[in-house]
Amino acid sequence: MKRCVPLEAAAEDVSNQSSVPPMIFQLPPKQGRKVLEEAQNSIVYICIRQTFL
Amino acid sequence: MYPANISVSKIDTGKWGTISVYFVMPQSSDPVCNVIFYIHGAGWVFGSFHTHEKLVRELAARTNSLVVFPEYTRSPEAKYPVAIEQCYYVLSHIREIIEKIFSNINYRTLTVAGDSVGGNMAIAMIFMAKKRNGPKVQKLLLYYPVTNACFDTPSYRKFASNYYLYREGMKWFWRQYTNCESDRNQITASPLRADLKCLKDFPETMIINGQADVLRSEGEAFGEKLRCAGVAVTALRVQGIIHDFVMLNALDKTNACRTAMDASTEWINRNDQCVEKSKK
Repeated sequence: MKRCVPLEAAAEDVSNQSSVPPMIFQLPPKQGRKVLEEAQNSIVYICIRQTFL
Repeated sequence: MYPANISVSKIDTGKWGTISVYFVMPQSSDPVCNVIFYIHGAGWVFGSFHTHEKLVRELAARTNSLVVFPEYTRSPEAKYPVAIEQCYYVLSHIREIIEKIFSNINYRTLTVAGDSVGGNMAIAMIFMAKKRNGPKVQKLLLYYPVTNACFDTPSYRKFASNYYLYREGMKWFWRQYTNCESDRNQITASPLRADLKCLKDFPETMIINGQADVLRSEGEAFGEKLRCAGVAVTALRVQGIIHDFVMLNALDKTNACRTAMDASTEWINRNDQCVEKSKK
């Protein structure tokens, strides 16, 4: 999608995925809550930066 | 996710009902000396401890703080001001609640924080604490806060659709949260409408906004207004990113999220300044 400001790649993906109807705010609240809860099930790893002297 | 010990208690907030409050304790051998009272966002309608778990674990771990996280009753089941009254009950009893659960915490600084509508309610906590002689808050941390029920700002116009948070979505969220225009006009709902006198004596504040976010203009305007009122404000605009960028797990590794988390945790960790200030 052509954008007025360029986005980081992951933000571009999230924006594209969330632009497909129905939007989360078009769902009944209970269903919308489930969508966000499930989206946040993804695992997050911590990056450990190592410094080599 | 960052390691933490998590517990949950049911807190009776009186006429506002009983809510769950989560406690996120860092797994560090150092004694905890900060408390972060965190109010979650996601449009007053969505969001929970689960949706914000990775964010608050990181805040707890990187600032060695106990995070206190109320799960307020969401809209449309609860309308303004139920959620802020529930949160304020917990905030105003925070010392006794913590002492009841954790015997060994003697914190020096209290930070109130929130993202999006959680930032809006975090600001409301400061107004309420000032008006009701509530607890002294040393710092206010706001990630892309909602500050005004107005949908005709430059950022609303520029990013109205296709940037994750839609203008129509924000209109819908406000309708779920408030009953009438009078609700929206309260400074505990639209804090940007507060006069400078009401903003004086706010705690030092950090506001972080994303570039491609309908809320950017009102978030930045609130920071400027606080500064006009004489408040110490640190404000950042992070480029190339959308709303919810510190909350969404999918955006955790973006440069924007990493930069915002580095800046905000470092800012909370600057404790000397606020200890000195509280002595005066």
